[in-house]
Amino acid sequence: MGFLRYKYYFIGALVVFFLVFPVIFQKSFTQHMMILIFMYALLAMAWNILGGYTGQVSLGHSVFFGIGAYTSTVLFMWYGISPWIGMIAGIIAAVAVSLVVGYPCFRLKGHYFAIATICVGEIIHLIFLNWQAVGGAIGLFLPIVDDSFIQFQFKSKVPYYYIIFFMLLLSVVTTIWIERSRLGFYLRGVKEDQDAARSIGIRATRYKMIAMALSAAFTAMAGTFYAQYILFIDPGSVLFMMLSIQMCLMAVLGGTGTVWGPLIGAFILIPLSEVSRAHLGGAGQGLDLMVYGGLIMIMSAYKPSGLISLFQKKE
Amino acid sequence: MFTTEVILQTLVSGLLIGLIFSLVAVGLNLIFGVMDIVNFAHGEFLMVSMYISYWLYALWGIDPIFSIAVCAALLFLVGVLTHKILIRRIMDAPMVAQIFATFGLMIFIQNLAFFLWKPDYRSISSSMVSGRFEFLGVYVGLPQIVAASGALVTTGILFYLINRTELGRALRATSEDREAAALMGINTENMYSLAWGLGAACVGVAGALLSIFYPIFPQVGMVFGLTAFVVVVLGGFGSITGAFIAGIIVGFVQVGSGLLFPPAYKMAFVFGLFLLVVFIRPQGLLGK
Amino acid sequence: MKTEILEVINLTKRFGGLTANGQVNLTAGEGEILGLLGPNGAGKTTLFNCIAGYHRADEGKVIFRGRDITALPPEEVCRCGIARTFQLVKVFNSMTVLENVMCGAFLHSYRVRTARRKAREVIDFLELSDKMHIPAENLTLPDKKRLELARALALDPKLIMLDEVMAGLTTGEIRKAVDILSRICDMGITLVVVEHVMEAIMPIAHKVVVLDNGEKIAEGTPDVVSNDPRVIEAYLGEKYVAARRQNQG
Repeated sequence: MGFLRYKYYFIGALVVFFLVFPVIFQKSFTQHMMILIFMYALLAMAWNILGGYTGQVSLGHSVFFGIGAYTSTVLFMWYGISPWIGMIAGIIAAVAVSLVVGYPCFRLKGHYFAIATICVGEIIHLIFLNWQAVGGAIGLFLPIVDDSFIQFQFKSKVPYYYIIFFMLLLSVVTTIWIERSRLGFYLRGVKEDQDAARSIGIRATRYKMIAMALSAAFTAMAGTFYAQYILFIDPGSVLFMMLSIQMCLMAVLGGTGTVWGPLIGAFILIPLSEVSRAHLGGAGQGLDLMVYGGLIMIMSAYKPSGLISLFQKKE
Repeated sequence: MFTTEVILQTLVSGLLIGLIFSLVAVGLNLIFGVMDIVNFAHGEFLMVSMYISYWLYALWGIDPIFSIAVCAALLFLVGVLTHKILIRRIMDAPMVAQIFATFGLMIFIQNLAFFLWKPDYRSISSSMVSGRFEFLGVYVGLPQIVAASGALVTTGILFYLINRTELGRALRATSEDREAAALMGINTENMYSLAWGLGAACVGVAGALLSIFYPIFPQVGMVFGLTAFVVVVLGGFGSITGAFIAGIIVGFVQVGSGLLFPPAYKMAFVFGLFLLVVFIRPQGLLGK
Repeated sequence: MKTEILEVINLTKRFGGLTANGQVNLTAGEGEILGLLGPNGAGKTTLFNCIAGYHRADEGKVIFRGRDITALPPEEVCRCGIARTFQLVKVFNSMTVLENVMCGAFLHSYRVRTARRKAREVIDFLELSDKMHIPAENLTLPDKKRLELARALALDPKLIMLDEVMAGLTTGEIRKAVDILSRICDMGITLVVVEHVMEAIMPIAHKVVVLDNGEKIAEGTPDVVSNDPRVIEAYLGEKYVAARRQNQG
């Protein structure tokens, strides 16, 4: 119990550290790494809301990432609308799709649901690959403009850093709030035993939809950020299955259904993947994912509650 | 445009590839039927088998036809090992853990292939079995016919094994009621290993057959794996006959969709079929 | 004259060729304890599930407090005021006792503090206070059953349906459970109890309904029903009835 008291100081120190991080570490690459880590962490947190707390394993979440990215980009390129507004539009679009897809899919049991999400993901991937109006397989290059907050583009990485950091903070705060509210209790009930949950008046489908919407919203938010940061999107970078897989991998590794699990997962996996890619280059292709896969297998077999269970005391 | 030739061609091509889908799906179904676990790595087993066949050919000039037995045996081993090392531990785990166990295996194997053999496409260029012939205006490649026939025969053997032998009966008993089977003296652990071994062996045969004419690359497993899921769902989890029929139907759908829509969307129809089945008739054609 | 809080009218449920419930009629008076008895396979749990919304009756109606709830799904049936327990106890294993009961208490308030307070009250009432922070999976079976009941009570239901809640309990535990049920009934809550353990239900039930092969074969006070030859035959078979008749004759 003593460790727990220090937890809050530790977290506070971390937040302060991250706030001054760009000042301490000025190298572009380091900042880039951190931005990537934060973005993936945000994705993992988003996935966790549906997959971790509600127990609905989605393997097609990149759909929402892509919708967020494409919506804000298209609105910006065709109509000059600020990507911030575009982000809101992207969130709305992603939430809408998630509800339309989720509603029928939620009737499906675990394995079926997972496979169905793969199918939906692949269908949408194929659609965008062949949709010439939004770039098809070639993708979209965002026009480069001068430093502008309204247009969500900056020459330096620092503004991007703070934006994604606050987006991540938002997701963390939201997850904490969910966990402590009635929604959190209900989601856990639905995940644990849906029949029992319904017998005590929990409208299971409604709460699954809420979790789905929140999850899709955060994912889409990250999608818009990615588009504005990288300034290039194509189906291969925002709608591909590996991204969906990575999202849940991080959460599973760190610990699903917890606030800090996905963060731990992201902080371990992303540096691992970037480092292996940098050092091994072409020869290392696949090595990082091999490690991912191996870790997931080991986790599932020996520590299904994720790495975070190492830090939790059993009562 | 839709002459009889075209339609016949579509049907024949669909049938031939469909039979291979059936074989892959039968293996998947066997595992699910006996122990309620979906093997997300099933497609990767196929990929491994195709690579084994390829390397036997590339290194020692062994024609894929002769590799069939080797692939089947090796994959049988892979299946059994997978069960003993990984699956055994997650038998009673929550579904999320079960999904991720085989899912992790899939990622591991696929990227192992990426790492070892690069994403290059390879193919077996000169097999004993080559050439094509034509009848009634329909062109059929000999490799495809041989592969389909091989698939048909293997499916038949498996069907016989499951439904007409003592061993098969023990497997079926285990799948229906684990505890009752154990009480009857059936070693359920061995049955599970057997199911995995046989399921993987089916895919081993399919891989060797496919390698005769299909390109070999690390992601080939994904395509067939996902298709196999569609087949199993359409045919009904737990039914071999269902998987057989469904495989052929999916073959028709895949080839047939190429008639009316750009081939790029082929897979979209297969996936769409999955969603259709799952919403309208989740138990599939003949499922339990 | 007590008002009838629950009315089951001509309820029929078929599974394939089997008629699990055939034209079952019963009523439960408000504040009453209604026992639902019958040998295995009589259709008691099916009837339960039809009332609770897990099955859709093929024919017939279920009226609760004047409202037709026949076609309602389980969560809506619960919101009308009916709580139920399960034959194989279904508590949320990963949650603590308190959290489990809070899940029930949340029905009437979204506020965590309110739900927690309500949950504490119910936990005290059922004497589970010392186990409040223990994860449900670590409880003994009788405690799990009590927890499930606590969770149901936190819903402030008008009627609780109990499915073989005495199964697996020792004599001492049964006595305690019966006492708890009486106290709940004193609170004005109607109880519909499916039970096998006769000594548990007969002493406290106001009315008893007996099912056999999906149909109602007897209804009345416990005394009347336990002497009904058809009931005896259903439970013990024709030979016993014949032997008894022979002894009496």
